[in-house]
Amino acid sequence: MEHISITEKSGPNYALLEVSGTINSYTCTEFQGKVYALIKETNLVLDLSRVTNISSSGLGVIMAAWDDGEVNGNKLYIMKPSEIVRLALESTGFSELFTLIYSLTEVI
Amino acid sequence: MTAQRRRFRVRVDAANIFLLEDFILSFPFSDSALAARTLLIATELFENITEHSKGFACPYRGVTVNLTNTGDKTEMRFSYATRNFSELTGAEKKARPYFDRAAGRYRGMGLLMCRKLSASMIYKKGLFKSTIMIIL
Repeated sequence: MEHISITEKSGPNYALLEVSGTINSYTCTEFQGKVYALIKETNLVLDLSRVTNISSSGLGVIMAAWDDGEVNGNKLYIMKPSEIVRLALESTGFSELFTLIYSLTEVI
Repeated sequence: MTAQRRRFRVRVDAANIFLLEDFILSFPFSDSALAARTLLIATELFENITEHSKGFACPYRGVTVNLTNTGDKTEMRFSYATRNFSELTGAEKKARPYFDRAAGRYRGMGLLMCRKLSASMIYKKGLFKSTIMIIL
């Protein structure tokens, strides 16, 4: 059974990863590899609307990607976070760090 | 309201996180926010146990999770045999995020998240089996 599904798409000035399922220490290697590779190249939009659970491992990857984006002049966006993702982000105390968007038209 | 009680036992193995997820999501929570908080905390504790706890010389290492809802209070207990429980309670006191170069990501947020998402957490060290009690 597949616990995480990641679909990659691209726009004029961004890459989009649509993630479904669970992001935890068991599944985050694939997530980590794709996120780190893309944020070095372009702005990255993470569509987390279909994420059903996320652990601190997944959040740790997103935070490190935000750092990488700053270094490389690219921006990380979190699009339509599910209720559990929003709760997890808030619980870390770092939610204000991230740019939340609800449509791809908000990507600058 | 009739109290709801469920018990679940699983081997300490990272792959079993999905069985734990199924158990948590099968519980009749009063609302989705409470279910989400419980799931996030359970995930963090199970990941912490699989990654950091040291068991005794026993071929089977398991964790028992008890979930109880009495109407006005929801409580979750993690019980497991470990010989380094004091490392967990020590880490809980000084938990803060840091960048782990080897893992390539930030770590140290799991116990902070648990503290923030729960009403209270109580750690009880036993001679063999120790318990983390979470009031949600």
